[in-house]
Amino acid sequence: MNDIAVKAENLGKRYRINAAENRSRTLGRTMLDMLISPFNYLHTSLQEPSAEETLWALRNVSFEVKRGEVLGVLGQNGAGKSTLLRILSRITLPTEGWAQTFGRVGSLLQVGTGFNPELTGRENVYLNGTILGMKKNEVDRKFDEIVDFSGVQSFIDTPIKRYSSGMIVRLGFSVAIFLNPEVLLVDEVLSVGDAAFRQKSLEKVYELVSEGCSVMFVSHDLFMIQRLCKRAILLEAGKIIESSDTSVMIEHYLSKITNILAPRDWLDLSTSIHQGTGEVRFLRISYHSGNSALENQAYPDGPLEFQLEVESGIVGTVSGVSISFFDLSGFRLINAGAIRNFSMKQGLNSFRILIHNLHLKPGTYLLALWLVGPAELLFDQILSMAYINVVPEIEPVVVDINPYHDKVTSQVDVSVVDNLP
Amino acid sequence: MVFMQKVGKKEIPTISATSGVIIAPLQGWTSLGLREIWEYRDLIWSFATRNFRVRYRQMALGPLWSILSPLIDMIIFSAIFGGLAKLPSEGVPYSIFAYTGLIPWGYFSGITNAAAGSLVSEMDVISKIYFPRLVIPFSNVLSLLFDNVISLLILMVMVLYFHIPFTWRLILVPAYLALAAVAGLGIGLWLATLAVRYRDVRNLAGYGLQVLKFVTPVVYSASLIPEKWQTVYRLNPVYWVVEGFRWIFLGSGQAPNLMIGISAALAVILLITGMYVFQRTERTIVDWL
Repeated sequence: MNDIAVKAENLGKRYRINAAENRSRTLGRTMLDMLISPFNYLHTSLQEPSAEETLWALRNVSFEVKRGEVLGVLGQNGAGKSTLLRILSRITLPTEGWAQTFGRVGSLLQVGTGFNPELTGRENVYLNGTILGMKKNEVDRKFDEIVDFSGVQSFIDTPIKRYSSGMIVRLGFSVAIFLNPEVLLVDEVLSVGDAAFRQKSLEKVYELVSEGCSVMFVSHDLFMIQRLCKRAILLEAGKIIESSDTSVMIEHYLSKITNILAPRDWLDLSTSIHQGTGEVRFLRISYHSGNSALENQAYPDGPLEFQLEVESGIVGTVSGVSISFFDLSGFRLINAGAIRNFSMKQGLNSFRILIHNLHLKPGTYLLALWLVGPAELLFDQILSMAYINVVPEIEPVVVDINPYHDKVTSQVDVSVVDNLP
Repeated sequence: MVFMQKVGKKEIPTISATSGVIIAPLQGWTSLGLREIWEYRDLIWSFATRNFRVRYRQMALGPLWSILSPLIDMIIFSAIFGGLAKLPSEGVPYSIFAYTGLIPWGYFSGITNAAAGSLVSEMDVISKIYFPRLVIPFSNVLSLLFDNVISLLILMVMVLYFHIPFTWRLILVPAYLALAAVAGLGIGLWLATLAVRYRDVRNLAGYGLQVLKFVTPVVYSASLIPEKWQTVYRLNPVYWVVEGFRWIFLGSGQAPNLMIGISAALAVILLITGMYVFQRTERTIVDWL
């Protein structure tokens, strides 16, 4: 038997950019254009678009995924990761090249797609299952497993408009995973639901892999990529830069980093990739170490204070907030925050997270933010927020650096501050 | 064809055992993909039952609406055309004459509208999951049929009330409904394809359907049309559906003849070309919207 699950040869996807503005978007305009200047009309519609008018979201991409292999796909925003997944899941066609997939392709591009709020959980399982390509009798067979896995048994005959967002996601994920795909395309979704469900989902993915399922795993979570994938490809501006061992890949990816956050600058988080329900959302962040000789930069064994502004759509409580530091190979070194209740007012709220002693070697670290509500409901999460430089002190002191510092607790103060007018 | 394939410890069904699915740019003439649509027949049923359930769960009067809407039309047209304008109604009361035309027209125009809007209305699913998009308009043919059956029962009650005898012609009702569906899908698929590229098509389509309603003998008798126009007039497949319903239920109207074959052939050509252009658009539709 063939041991290849996915094969791509010179895949390319071209989008028109400027052309879209010039071209008529109404039938009337098109006819008018044809009448007024037939030459121009033919010129713009028949000619191959010029280089400035087009954007190659993907170009000359070739790779193979073997059966039972988990391939990581890395790349900055706009590098073509989503376009690649859209082509492989057949949502759109490539402009050139081809790909071949063997066996049933399941995609977790967005779980619960097609769920209708008026229908009950049971009806939605059937609807969603058949949208994903199952036969009705196949859903019949797997129904109990799906419902068990999702943990929404007691609400299965309730319309899902009465479900919490967490329940909907769990049900959607359960249907998608019980499709028993031979190729699974995953785009960040393993970070949905509460911690227990995330763990269960991950175990289910491992189980599928051990049975021969191949996974293409796109994520900003370097830590997750490192844990799950032996091999990764790095996309940059639509091209494959390298394809090799994951840790080599991650270092390469991080070496291209440009977004390093400077002290006392407010970083606007509205363009970052947020995950979670968004009931309470991160707005912006800044930090300083209070050391004016170092221009407020972070330094080993020094204090570091973060200020976080969040926007709350609810009057209620946040049960946990944290900021994490990852090293360049994706290991989490520090998770600074608190799991306790903070009450939120509607609108703008501010947090202050003070790390008394940073315990980090000089270098570049990746920051991630996390905010949960009651019952571990994920309100907001930004996995690759920005990078931070830790600079040496003027007079360096020799300290024993333990890279796994989230086990060695440094004192962290978290408080909600009311520094707003 | 579903194969059982051994993957690891489990046997799981796969759509294709060895060849895999090729993903490549469209080149030249592709097939209509009917086999794939057949593979997804359970989805057609899922969408149809969803449409039906969702429509009626949100409404206070529930399934009553599907009965009320042609009845209200009938009352309005009876008042204007039957009462005021005193249009001839082929020897039966104008109300049942109009109702017999309004039911198949409603089925036809419902399918046309649903097909025309199908790519836009299901954008949420289309932009995230692949399935043959023709499944959407096909499922509307089914869900609208549920409504139609209820209206047909009312028609039968009216036929009994007016003491019009039932005949063997009743067995031809499904054939006429099929013709309405073919014509409605054919036009609707063309409109859907055009509407993706040109946004004003949906507005134009609304007026186009209005015009077609009056070019079809829905609320007046076809005998009002001058003889010299009758040949062109009878090319319209919906003409045959409406006249066929009157022929079946009222004993008036136009019995099928050679012209219905030509008209039906036109409808089939419209459907096949419509399916073809629709399929070409659907493969890249997410790039357009």
